[in-house]
Amino acid sequence: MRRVLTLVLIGIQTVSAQDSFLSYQGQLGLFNSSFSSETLFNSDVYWDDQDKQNILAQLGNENHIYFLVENQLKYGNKKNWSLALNQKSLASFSYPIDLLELGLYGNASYLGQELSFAPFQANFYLYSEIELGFKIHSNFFLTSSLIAGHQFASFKAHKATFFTAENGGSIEYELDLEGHYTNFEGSNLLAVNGIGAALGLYYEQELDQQLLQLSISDIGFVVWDESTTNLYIDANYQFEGINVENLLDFNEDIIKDELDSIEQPFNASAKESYNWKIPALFKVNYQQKIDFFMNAFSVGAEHRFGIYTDLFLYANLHHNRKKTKWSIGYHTGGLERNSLQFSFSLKGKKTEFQLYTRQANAFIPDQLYGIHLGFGVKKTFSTKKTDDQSPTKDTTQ
Amino acid sequence: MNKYLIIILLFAGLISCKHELEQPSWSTQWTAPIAYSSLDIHQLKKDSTIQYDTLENSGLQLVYQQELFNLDLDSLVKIPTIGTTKNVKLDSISFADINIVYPTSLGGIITGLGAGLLLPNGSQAIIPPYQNVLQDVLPIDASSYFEQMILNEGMLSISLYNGLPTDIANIEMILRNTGSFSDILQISIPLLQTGDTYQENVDLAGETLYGDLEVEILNIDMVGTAPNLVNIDYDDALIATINISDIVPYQGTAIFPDQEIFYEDTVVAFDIEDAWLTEALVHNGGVTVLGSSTIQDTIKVNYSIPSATFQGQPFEIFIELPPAPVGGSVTEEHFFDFSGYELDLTGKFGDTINTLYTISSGRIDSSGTLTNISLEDSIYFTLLVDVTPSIVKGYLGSDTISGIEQTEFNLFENFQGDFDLEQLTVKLTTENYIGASAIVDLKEITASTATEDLSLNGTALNEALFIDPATENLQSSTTPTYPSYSDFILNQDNSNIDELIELKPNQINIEYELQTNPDDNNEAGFLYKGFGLSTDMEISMPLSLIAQDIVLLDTTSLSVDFPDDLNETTFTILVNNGFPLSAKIKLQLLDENFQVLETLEENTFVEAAPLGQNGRVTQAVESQIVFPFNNANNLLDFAKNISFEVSFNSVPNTEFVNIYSDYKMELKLIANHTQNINQ
Repeated sequence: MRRVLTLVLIGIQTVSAQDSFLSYQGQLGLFNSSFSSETLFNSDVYWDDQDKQNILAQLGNENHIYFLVENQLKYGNKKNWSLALNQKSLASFSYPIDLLELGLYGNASYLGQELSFAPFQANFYLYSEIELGFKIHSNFFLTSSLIAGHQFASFKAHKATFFTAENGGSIEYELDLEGHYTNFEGSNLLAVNGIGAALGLYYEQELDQQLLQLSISDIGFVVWDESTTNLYIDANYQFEGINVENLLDFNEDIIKDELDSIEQPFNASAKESYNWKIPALFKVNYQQKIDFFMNAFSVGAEHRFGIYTDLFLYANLHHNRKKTKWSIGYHTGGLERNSLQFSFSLKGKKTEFQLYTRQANAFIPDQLYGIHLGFGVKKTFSTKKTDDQSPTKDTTQ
Repeated sequence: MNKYLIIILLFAGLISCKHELEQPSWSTQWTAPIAYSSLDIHQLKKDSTIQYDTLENSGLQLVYQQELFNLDLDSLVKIPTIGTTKNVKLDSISFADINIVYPTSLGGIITGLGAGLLLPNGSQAIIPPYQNVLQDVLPIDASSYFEQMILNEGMLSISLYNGLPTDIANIEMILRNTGSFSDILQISIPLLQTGDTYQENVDLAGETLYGDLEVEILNIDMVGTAPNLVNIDYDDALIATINISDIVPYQGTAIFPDQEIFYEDTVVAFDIEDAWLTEALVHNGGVTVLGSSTIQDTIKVNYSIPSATFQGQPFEIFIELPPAPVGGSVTEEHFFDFSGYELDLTGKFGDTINTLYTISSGRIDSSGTLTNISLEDSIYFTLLVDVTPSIVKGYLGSDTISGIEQTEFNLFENFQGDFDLEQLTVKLTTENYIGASAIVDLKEITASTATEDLSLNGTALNEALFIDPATENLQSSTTPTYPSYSDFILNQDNSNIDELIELKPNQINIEYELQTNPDDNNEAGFLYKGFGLSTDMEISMPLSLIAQDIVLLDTTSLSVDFPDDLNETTFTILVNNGFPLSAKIKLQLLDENFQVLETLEENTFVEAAPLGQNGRVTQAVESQIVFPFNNANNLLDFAKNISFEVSFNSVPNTEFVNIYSDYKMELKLIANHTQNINQ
């Protein structure tokens, strides 16, 4: 379980350069909203009742596990167009406390109680895109992408209850679930199972002391092909054991027949094409230069529609040195637990390195709820010597 | 650049020093129903021999049926295998007549005399007398007919026709086998006028003839024609004719013509004790024919049984025996399936019983070559009839069959404990499909356990059971007879049968004597295979009893693959008992050799349902029994059988308790399992 708490987060640096450049940016993150590293590290290898209670004490009604991997290789031309290859993967899992209680204790501790597993949601997608961007106005930049969808899964339970009778004499469940997933058979994770397209719109206004950035990206769709499994389950089942007409003639065939009847609702799936809307990402960032120990501060917000349950908010302070830049900040909301965030940048004559994280609580175990790491490198093609003394922009976002 | 390198190395060092996460483990407890069932008295019966009749008051009567004995056609009438051998010696061998003509021309004689100038051909002349004009040995070649024959009968006829223009005299001739010094015939004729014929016959009985006979002419004188002129024609001839007729050889080497050499009709009588059968239908079996011949020619044998027919066609077979070697014999064996044949056992003229009428004949099929045949040659046939009938008709005989039938009695198999029955009736029902009456006299009935025997006594055995004959149903092929039924009742009034049953015997022994056709007057009897005479025992007892530690024990195979980690599990049985019987349940896991691996037994009883004012259960009672189980030694992997042992006691245990048809026991098996995650 402790491995689960390895978190990595990458913010995509908005590139706004006057010279041509080639850059690589990537981020990897694993977050959970409920368990701190202290909880897991302080529990024994064997979880006794006290450990289970400590774990459950940290859970809310809704809990999330969130995994993110993004890579971008981008060429920007000084004539204000760009070409990028992106690969995006996201997995999120939202679950209620009842599900973990059942997993930790079993149903024997909840005889006579109804457990609810809704809202339950699980999403996973992996796709690659070729993105072409143009500056369409002095402050607007537009991107359009062609997408090759690789893998996809989406499950959402509108209702899921589980009940065990007081004497254990029956088990009941009610499930209203919709699911869609591509064919995961085979080892080729990057097989093309769908095609799509997306748009992105970026606005940036830089004044003397302020910088305002607005963007909405991943506005698009992927049409997953006809091998996609579409599952619609609306089942209400009560299991009182297998009805054995002759108790003295009990055999495995009777069990198989009963299991077949239980599995029947789950086998009611259809293989057909599925049109999926990509969760769009909205961002806003405001930065103000200051001259009091720090060079600037920034605040912003972010929302991934269909994935985030709360708006992601943050604030950063920025400090610049001759060759380095760094920023430190704090964020809340999204699918992550609140955390410090940090960015460091090292700049040469034509090359710039960046390292940043949205989970900077590594040295505060009871506040470490994930691991995130972002890395960027940018090569500028220009003979003009750059001596940028501007504050670090909010690369963490 | 060095600064960048230092930063990268620091970062790498930080990553490499991260704590290795260990996989946690924890325990969970799960409860789930496994199976449920409703058990009523009808489900306790293990096979079709037990059934329950619902009485008018919804009470139950247990009815147990078991066949005691069954006599079928095989044991009542047997057609024994019968063999018959026919040795056929040749009565006679016919042979065609032999006729040989030998002319001696005038021209030949005149030329031999050297008188051609004197007596030229075509002239008219006076033939002078000549002495001894002809001396010759004439070969008579009969080798194309025979090489050698020893004759039982035969007649040789030799005739001499004088076709010459002159009389001849002093004729001396001898007939003999070539090279033999023994004459068959000597002929002496003083005068044979021209145009006359002389004939002489010889009986050849006992003679031996060879194919190369000869006639020796010792003397012939020409008398002459003087003074008469006669026409000289050289073609005129003295003609000798030899005829051998009525040939009956005893032995010979000859070309024998096609001929029937034997014809036999005979009867084959089955020895069927005192049964007089007129008809039978063969179920299986057949006829084996073994033929042997010493005849050195092909013998064709036709064998038929006109009284055995299949689809209206009589049984007929053809056998060909090839030529036997010189001094030896040939043997052929053939089997002919008789399945489905209808046998008319009334003989050739329909006036007898148990008899088949057969015809056999044999022919020489001439090969056209010289063959040695002797009346000492013979042909013999062995005919073996081995059939099992499916139907016999006729008088079946008056037979007395005595026996002791020892019948395994499984009603109380796997049953322990004691009970007291309030009422009991045992009915012995005889079902007779045979077209014959019978009398059954039950000599003795005993019930046996491993340690104890108990005999039936009372007035019941004083009476014999008369069984009427069945009625033939010619309209049906599936139910050819209407059976007759006869009942023999045993109850507590005429016997101590209740004591025999309460003994819980595992064997019932019945000594009996069965006499068929006691009136000796049914000649139109019949017996069909599969439709014999049987006696069933039917035990009827209203389920009103006092039960004391009655144990029902059953073992069934356990063909369930259990999860490997099923280590800490308890099983709970929820019992909703509607019987006025308390119960204690014990489960045993057994290996493939039925050795006990684990016993699951708790001292918790399933409570009996209380009786209301009317003596019936008004409300079921729920009990919960928990069986702890530890699969630490993977017992379930070795458990191939499971035994259920349920012991019952009636409550109250001093009064008879009625069991009603609507009583039932609801059972639910619940598993309580501790599942250790990641351990």
